[in-house]
Amino acid sequence: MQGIKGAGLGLRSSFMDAIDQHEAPEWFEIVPENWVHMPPGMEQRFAAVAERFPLVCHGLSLSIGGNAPLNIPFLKELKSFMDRYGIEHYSEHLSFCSIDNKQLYELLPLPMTETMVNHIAERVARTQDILKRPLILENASYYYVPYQEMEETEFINAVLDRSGATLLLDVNNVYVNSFNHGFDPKAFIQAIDPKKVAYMHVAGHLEYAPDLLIDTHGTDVKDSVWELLDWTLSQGFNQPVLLERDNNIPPYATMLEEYTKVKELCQRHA
Amino acid sequence: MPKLSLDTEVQRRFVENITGDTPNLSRALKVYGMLVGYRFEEVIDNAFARLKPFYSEAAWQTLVQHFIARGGRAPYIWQVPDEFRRMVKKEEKRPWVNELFWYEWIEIALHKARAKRSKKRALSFDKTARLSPTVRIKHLHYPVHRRDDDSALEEAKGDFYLMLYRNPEDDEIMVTELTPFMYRVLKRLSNHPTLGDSVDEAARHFGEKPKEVREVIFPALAEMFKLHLLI
Repeated sequence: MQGIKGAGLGLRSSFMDAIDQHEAPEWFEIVPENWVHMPPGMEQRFAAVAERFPLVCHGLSLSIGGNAPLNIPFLKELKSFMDRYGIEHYSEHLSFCSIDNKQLYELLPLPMTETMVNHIAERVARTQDILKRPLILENASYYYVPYQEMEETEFINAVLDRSGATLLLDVNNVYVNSFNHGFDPKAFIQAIDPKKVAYMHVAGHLEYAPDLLIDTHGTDVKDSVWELLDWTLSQGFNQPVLLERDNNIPPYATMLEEYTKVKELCQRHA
Repeated sequence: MPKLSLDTEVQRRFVENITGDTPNLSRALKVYGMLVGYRFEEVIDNAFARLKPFYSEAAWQTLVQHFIARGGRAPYIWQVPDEFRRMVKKEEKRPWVNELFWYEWIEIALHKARAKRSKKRALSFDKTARLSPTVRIKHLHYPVHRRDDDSALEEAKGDFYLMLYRNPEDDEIMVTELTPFMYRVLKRLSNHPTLGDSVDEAARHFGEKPKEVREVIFPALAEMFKLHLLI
């Protein structure tokens, strides 16, 4: 990924006033849906951040596996936003969040079928045509598989092969899914071609029940996930890593302490 | 049937299960129902914090569940409160509740509105004038803007001509009461080719002399222009 190296941090509006007072991360990731309609006072501060740091957009509402036509005005608004701030990278989720134009604002599990692979490949091409940027797709966490003709790694690899998209490998999602569905997370990661990975995510999850983890992004990263990230980085996945936090967000200075751990891991494996 | 239709049918059924009242769901499906529910409840409850006490907890939950089953339409979750408000409005018979719904939603809408700046150097009665997208005016019948005692709203019926706007200095949402005269001028700006025409029409409507009214009203309009509320 051009311009994106090492460790990054998810940018929250609550961090904006503190960024200049602390050591800064190497890059930031933003959820564009949260920033496209920001008020002018925030726009000036955001423009300063965009000027100073490389940014990656990580979207939520594309619904790449949805059945309704892509929302073209939304994509055009997104393109205009990314153009305005010079953001070149855009990632989304291998999931759906709407059906029959009914939006649920949650990442829902896809049927893992050959037809879905082709459907997604077509929508990736259309999305890229509009955004004029390559699409990066994230392996999603899921608690239920609606229908399955193939294993998840087969599904992901087929989507990447057919669409030409690259992967945002979410190590926490791999861990959560492996725990909930009983597979080996390392075998999962070994089934992914490191050359097809654009960057990686790490985040915290909730131990909801003794046999169920939920991907909340609302806690610190668990030791088991740090270990999996460390191992992944040792396996030739030397891509940038982003620390995500979407709930129970601590102050920026606290967040940087956890970020430092990501940075050290990236440096150790560089 | 094309194969994608089968995938779509699977997805559709999944969504119906997690957003409806299907009995005996598996734990995994209940988790999805819970995640979707939290997502909607958080944004709706935060948007309508003053309004929620007008409903019993059970009635509010029913409305939210009904909305979830129908889903949102916009790609931006911050627009959900408006869609929720429009759905409830069809059934809600209490006018003060509907006015409070509008008021709480407009505070969000103005916060998100994209500002436009006028290309004009100065305000003139001979030129067009429009309200900025960061301004809303409304004639309400309950003082929902006073925030003093929401439980007394029903008894406080009257005429309240409001202007809500986002202050360009600090992005705070402000509210001010307008005179009926000023409300008419601003409300009808788009009906007239110039600002002067709008003022003159309001003067005639209220039985005033247009020339005198122009002199009196100009400072207030000029202040609005300075704040980029008139463009």
